[in-house]
Amino acid sequence: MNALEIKNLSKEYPGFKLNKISFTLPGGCILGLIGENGAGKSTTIKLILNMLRKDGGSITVLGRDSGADNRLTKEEVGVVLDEAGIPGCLNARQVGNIMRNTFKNWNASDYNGYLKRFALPLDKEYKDFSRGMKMKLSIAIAMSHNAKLLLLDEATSGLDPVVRDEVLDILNEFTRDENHSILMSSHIVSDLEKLCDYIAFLHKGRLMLFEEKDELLARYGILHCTEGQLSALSKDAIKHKKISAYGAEALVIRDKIPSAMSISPVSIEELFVYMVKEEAV
Amino acid sequence: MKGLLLKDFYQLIKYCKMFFLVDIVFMAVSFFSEGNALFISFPVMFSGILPLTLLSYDERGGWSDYCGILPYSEKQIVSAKYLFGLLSQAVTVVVVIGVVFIRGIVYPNYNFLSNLSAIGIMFVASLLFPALCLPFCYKFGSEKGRIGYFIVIAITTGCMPLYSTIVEGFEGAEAKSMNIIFPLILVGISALYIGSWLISIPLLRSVKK
Repeated sequence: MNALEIKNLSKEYPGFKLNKISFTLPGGCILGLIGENGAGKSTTIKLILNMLRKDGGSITVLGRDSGADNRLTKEEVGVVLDEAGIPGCLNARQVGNIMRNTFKNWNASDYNGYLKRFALPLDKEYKDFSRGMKMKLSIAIAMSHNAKLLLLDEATSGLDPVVRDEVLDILNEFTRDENHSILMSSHIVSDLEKLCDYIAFLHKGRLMLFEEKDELLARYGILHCTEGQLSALSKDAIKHKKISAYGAEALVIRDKIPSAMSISPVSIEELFVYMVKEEAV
Repeated sequence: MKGLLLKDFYQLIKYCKMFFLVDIVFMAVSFFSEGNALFISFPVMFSGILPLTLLSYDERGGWSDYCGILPYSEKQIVSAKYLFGLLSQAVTVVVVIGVVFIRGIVYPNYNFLSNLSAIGIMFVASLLFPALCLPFCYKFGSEKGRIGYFIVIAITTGCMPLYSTIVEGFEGAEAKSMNIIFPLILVGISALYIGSWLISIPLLRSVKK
């Protein structure tokens, strides 16, 4: 079963439009939602959670329409938002008590285990937490009610590299169960590159690309050559190009480039930057 | 919904310490000043404002948005606030009545029935605050929703002469007239409280962008 199916989803605000995006997250997989600030990542996640009213399209979460009474769905979806609204006066112990009375499948021993693993104090008030600690508490909550799908909005931002790596390990462990899936948005593309099976690029509310990560990396490469060599190539082979006084650099489709030419591997980050910033052919 | 009530309880304990202190002072003043009805009934009136205060904290701290990721319906979110308001008022009434009874034991000549009717009237009046203000707060946010507060003041003040006229209409039988009018007012304001709760649910749904 697909964990998430989005078809022609649209939403319009003054100055922003999410333009009929469609993608699917298969069960047991991790999808990275990449986009610059304001691209529509958080809007997409809030629409999935029915926190915003969609203008058009359909969203199916764990086989259920997200527009209906979605309490059952939210029992099975763990969420980490960029800004968690946990009251500042509460400590981690009290948050645990509230969540125990909120989620039917709340697992207190998992929660306490994550608090210990993240070295979060039980009695310190939330308002005195650093941004990283707040994020870790949100992750602990999301992981402690036997969720089948995690929706993470910039969940690794604000974390130091060591903790970030640990969080990525936890997320990897989570998807060992084939019924578990993750949709993770971030502008720290390197995190997504480490973790994701699928990549979706959002740019100004448009879905520019949705593909399997390995396929993307196998299909595209970076070609360094002269401007003359570049112009001799088939236009179909070149997705984006950058020409400077020192030569040409282009994002190319490997299969369409003569084998004699040397092509470097492309990272997801480079692919993203090329697609967003550089001149389209 | 238990989680929402527990969250409100934790916030009440943490943020409303001054509120409890004022209550204690008012009860103490009443206790040691011949059972002053005004002072003993004010804590009940204050408790009516609690749901509005807590809603305001929810908005400012981002809890209202965070609730969107939790398995709660709009009906549960609204109901928790109305229920918490009733529970906090009920607890305050019980405590205040306890103080009145203790005073009755300590001072045998003290007529505590007059205090009890003042507490009853204040309890009913205090239901007006959340009943009239909460729908405004759910629709327009707690800042703009405070306009409801002024409406309550205007209605309460406006009804005073009417209430006095009705009571005076029962010639020389004030206690008897209270027995008839008070239950009527209680039923009316309870209906208003229920109506307010029912209206607030679709109002909360309607603010979703």
